[in-house]
Amino acid sequence: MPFLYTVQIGDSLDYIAQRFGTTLPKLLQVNSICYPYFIYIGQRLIIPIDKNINSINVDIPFSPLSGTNYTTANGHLAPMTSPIDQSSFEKFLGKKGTMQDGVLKFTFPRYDLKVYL
Amino acid sequence: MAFHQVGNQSMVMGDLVLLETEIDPVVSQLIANGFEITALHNHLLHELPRIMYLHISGIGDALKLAQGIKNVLSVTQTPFSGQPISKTLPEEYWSTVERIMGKKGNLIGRVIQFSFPRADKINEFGIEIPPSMGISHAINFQAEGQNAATTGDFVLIAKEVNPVIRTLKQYGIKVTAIHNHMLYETPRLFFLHYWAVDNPEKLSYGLKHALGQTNTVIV
Repeated sequence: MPFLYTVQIGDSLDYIAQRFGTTLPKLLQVNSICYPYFIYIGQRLIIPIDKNINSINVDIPFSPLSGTNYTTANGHLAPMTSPIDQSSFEKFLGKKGTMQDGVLKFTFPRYDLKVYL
Repeated sequence: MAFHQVGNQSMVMGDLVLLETEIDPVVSQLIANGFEITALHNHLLHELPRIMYLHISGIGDALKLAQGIKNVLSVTQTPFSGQPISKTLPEEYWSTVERIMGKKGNLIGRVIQFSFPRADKINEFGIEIPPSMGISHAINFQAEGQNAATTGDFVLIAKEVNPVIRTLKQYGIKVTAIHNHMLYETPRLFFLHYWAVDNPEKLSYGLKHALGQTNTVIV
């Protein structure tokens, strides 16, 4: 029977799906979560499980981003998003980037190297 | 380096092209700047000097990530200012290759680059990773007299790896590496690198045939 779960610090959709023995597509479908699949701390999600709540896996080994040194681990998914600030990046890095499907790319060619094969 | 906005934070993924002597100082800088190292390996075989590829990812404040990248590159000899590239070949030079590949390429000097995104969705940490974050098939040709050199990578799920290897071998294209670039992606991805110097038309047919063994947006 489905129940509600409140998103905690460090949670991700993959993690929640794994923890409650469901799949990511099911979790997305019942909660009407679309691309780019953001969740936020305190959000209440419907967990589509059939098995008894006492049998769910509450001992998942890790939440991938929690505790690593490149994230604050305070909920890496946020409710809103905004485009990346291309001009700030370019000014800071001192070179032009290329933007494609929301991804800003910079290349740093190794002009100092001549590579032979 | 590819940057993508995720909520109120930025994500960066990319690879550093390094001499063997640069690896350890770079690793120290990556740790100090809060990046995660996701792979270190070759992409080619028998190249001189030996080149290693160190793949990284990071999430955080956009400009802190950019500063971190600058700090990391500062312990390599990578020039920040670009040198003029060699004159771009006439557009019609690659017309046969473009016709076979089924799309226009990106011309840079003697090189033409093609990118083919996979049709399936790739997720990491519950976030869909756009194809431009280094998870599209990359196919590059460089003019070498009447021939072309080709290298790049195929982004494959497990069951596609051996069909692609067999197809490439049929066309005389050597497989030079098969490995991960990321750590937590779903589905699990294998990056297959290749190398050949041959008739560009033959190479194009081989690479296009190999793409046909994968779940890929061909057009």
